[in-house]
Amino acid sequence: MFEYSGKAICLGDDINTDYIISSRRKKDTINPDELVQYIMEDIRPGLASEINKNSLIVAGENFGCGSAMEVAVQVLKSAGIQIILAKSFARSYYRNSVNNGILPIEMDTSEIREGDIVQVSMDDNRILVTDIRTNMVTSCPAFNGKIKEILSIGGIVPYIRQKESKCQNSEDE
Amino acid sequence: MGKTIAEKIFSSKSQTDAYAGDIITAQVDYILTNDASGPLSIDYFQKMGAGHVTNPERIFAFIDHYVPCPNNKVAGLHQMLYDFRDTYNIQLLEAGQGIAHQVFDELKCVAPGRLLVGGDSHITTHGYLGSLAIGVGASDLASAMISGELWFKVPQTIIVDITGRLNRGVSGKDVALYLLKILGSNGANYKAIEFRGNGIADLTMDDRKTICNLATESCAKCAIMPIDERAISYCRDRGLPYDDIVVSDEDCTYCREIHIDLDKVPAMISLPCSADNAVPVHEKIGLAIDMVVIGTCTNGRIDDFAAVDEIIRMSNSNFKTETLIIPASATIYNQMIERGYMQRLVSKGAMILPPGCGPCCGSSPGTPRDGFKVLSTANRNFLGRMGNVKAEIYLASPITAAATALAGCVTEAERG
Repeated sequence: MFEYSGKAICLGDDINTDYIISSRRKKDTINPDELVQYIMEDIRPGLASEINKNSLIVAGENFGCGSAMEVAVQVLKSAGIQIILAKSFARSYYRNSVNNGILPIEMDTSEIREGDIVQVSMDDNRILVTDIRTNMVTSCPAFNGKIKEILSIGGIVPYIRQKESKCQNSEDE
Repeated sequence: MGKTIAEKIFSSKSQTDAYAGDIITAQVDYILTNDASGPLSIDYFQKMGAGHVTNPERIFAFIDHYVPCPNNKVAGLHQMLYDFRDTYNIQLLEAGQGIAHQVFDELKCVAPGRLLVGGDSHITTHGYLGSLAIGVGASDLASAMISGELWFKVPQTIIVDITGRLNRGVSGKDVALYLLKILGSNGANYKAIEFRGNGIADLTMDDRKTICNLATESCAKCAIMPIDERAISYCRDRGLPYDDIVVSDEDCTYCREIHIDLDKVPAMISLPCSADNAVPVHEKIGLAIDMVVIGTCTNGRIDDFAAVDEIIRMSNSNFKTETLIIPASATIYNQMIERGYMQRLVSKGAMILPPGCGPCCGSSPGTPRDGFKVLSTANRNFLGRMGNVKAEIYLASPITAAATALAGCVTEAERG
């Protein structure tokens, strides 16, 4: 059982990876902790100072479209984001979120407003998302298969580490 | 039950009987990365702690985004790639060789039936020759480098039926923008696009690359052209294997069918700030343009510059816009010199930038000034994409770009 409660930061449709973090900033560093200050600077100046570990991203359709650049996920992770709710995700952003241990939850987000407190609870069967302001509860299917395996261990890095060490052990035997 | 091309290639690479929706682990034939995704990928690789790569002769890193190296920070990122090459013997293509997607192809990594993954979304380009070419993030790339395999969800397929013949002055770029307008910015999300139809015979191999390149702007996982006679003779000329030609079964399942009649495709232009926001060029004629960019992985190939040369040779005037030319590779650069294109471009007032991504995503020089309207042959026109949020970016074909540079405003190329 996983439980989380956060304050909604609402974004629109088609938020591309260039908007999340501009390629021009990567000229100076690829360290997500340093890039955090530039999050969505072109479309939502000032967001970088609002966003923290108690925030939850609420987006429309096609979140994370455009480039596959993973720093666009890492930078949100560095800002403290653990969950992204969106009507839909771009394919590569979805994968990158899973790989970095951020939960990408697909659902109808149209009733959630900026600043709403949103609770997310998850067990093996389903994910429940509750907007405290409206009391609206949305039920989504739980993660399964490979995605569940990667998320449950916290991302692709611990996942591969575990796999590699198992290979190593079986070779040793 | 019949299979699509994507289902067949995934079945073959995973040694399973795979259909759309299945999650499989597939052997990857070649891996592509660059100086944008590569350093991050190396970072993940180190954290994963494996200390080995599988098939280093099939892993290619390209220095293309930041060319020539603009500062000491990027120099450090480039050094990471060199150090990784020295430790693990992967292949490294240095600054000035060209854009990953062009050089990867020149290096013969692309052939029918292969599974290619890359840390760059525009790897979809390589579906032009029947490869399944899929963009992934840096962490997926690192895990593929370690194990030589990667998990995938087998995608559903949208079939695009192409008939008819291209009008004069219309190219693969216009077909791509026309298709994007139909699909929308996420119309192919999680899906493969497969092309078929007798109209494909009319598309050059470079046109096919452009169409597959832009498929990613509809969020497609991959885009696959069929292997027709033209593609086979192209493989034969270049010494590429074509014994693994994959065709879809007649009774396979497509999730959507789209028909494009080439006779009805006009020259197209995408308005800010999304490539699918496309209209016929004739609706925007006269719009003043300050800067024209011709090149990138979308339209920096020799056919593109041949088309540009044809336009500028018909004109006595010089370029009225700031005009940047970026050959997609050193090979293309040389061909342009040999054919006299460079001399004519420079005499008209163009600036020639080194082979690479150029200012397309603001990574290399060529930033537009405040208030500039830029017409580019690239693939993305997001706000701030070229490094300045106060500039507007329009996307069009090399033909339209050349005519526009000569006129100083959006122009449809003269139809001789």
